[in-house]
Amino acid sequence: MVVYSFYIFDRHAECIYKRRWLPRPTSTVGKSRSDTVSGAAPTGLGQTVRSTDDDSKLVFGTVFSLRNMVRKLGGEDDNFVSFTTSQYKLHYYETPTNTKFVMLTDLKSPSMRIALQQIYINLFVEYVVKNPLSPTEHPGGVGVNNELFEESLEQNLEVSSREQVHVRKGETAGSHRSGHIEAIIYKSGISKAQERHSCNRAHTAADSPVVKHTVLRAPACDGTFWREKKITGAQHRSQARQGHPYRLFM
Amino acid sequence: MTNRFRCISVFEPELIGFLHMRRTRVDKVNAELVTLTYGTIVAQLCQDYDSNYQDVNKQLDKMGYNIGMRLIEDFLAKSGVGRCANFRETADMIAKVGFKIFLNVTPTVTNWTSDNTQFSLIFEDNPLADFVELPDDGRAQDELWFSNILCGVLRGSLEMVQMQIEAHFVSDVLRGDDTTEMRVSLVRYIEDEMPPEEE
Repeated sequence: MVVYSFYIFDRHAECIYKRRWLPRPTSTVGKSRSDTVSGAAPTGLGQTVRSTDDDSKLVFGTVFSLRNMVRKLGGEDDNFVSFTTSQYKLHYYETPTNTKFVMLTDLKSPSMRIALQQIYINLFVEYVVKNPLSPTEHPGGVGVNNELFEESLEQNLEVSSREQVHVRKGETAGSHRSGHIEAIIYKSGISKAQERHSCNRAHTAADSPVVKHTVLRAPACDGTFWREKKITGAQHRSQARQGHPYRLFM
Repeated sequence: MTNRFRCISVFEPELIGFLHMRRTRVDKVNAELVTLTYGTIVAQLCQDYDSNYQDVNKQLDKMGYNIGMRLIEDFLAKSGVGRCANFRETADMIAKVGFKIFLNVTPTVTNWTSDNTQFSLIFEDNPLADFVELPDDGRAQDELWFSNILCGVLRGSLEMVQMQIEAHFVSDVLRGDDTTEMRVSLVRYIEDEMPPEEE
């Protein structure tokens, strides 16, 4: 399964967080917008993609209208969950405070509703809302700028694709359009051996096995956070810096 | 309605363990610590505003408002409850779930107006006001609402779930009244906001 992008909108219809990992597959019809999307350079780890604002506005407009339509047809309690096009699947979750979580994935993905709910409960509330210094409102789209949130999100949504490795190795940027995208969902209880095995499957033979560990500690009593980050494998580290897309980790 | 805390436990098997699943639980904190901390804040405000109690009330309400806007997210995440169907249900939710989770008290909901837009919360027990005696300057007894932060909390949290309300205390045992009563009235339901027009 591949996660293409992830958006959070607050109750003022402001996009407070957006993140894109992989370009959506280019449509053969040749829409100009998807062309610019797939032509964008892969982005670095922990760094939000520079993209046109249009993208998030379009996404918001779509989910907003669909949600209202669903409620009109099915009653107040009916929920809009996801929709599918021939290219991608859009997952939607809305909290009672009107914060909207949207995720675009490929077609094979299962329902991400619970995943989005967990992102809200375990990441957004814990790291963004409960951070006393982060603003509750985001006028002008300042947005969520929170390292802990971004890192944990990164950790939990790791997307890998083989063709991005090719691009990094200096092959023509066009090659990733023909290359096929591969990404895997893991359960969190996966053993190291399995992990390594799957990594080997996901990468070309030249790539060293990747072992990645990240320990997030709970807040200490004095309110500070400790983070321990251990990434073994120099190659992996350099991949991370150069914006190697990650596997989706569950 | 149950006033027991509801855990969120509807995970699909393959999603168990997602995102370092932390079991939802209610953290406990020493009640006296809360009481003393809150008391210190009020005392400091009284000092900062030269015992202008109107300003102190206003400031407490403002602080509560900011707390409420965050607290509601925590409440929703912890309780997993959905939207209330009407204001009566909201009142019960506030009294029996909200206050129970955060202050471990259950105020009584009463004195409804016939159009179901105003109600009173009667606090038999108010942990914020333990050990408190209002200053004996002849004005505090009439002007200071010691627990006014609670009004702000309700205002902030309900605003986040699309309800504009007005809340104020009408009586307080600290002032020598028989009960501690807060009056809450629904002003309006807030419509969904639309994104600003493209220019």
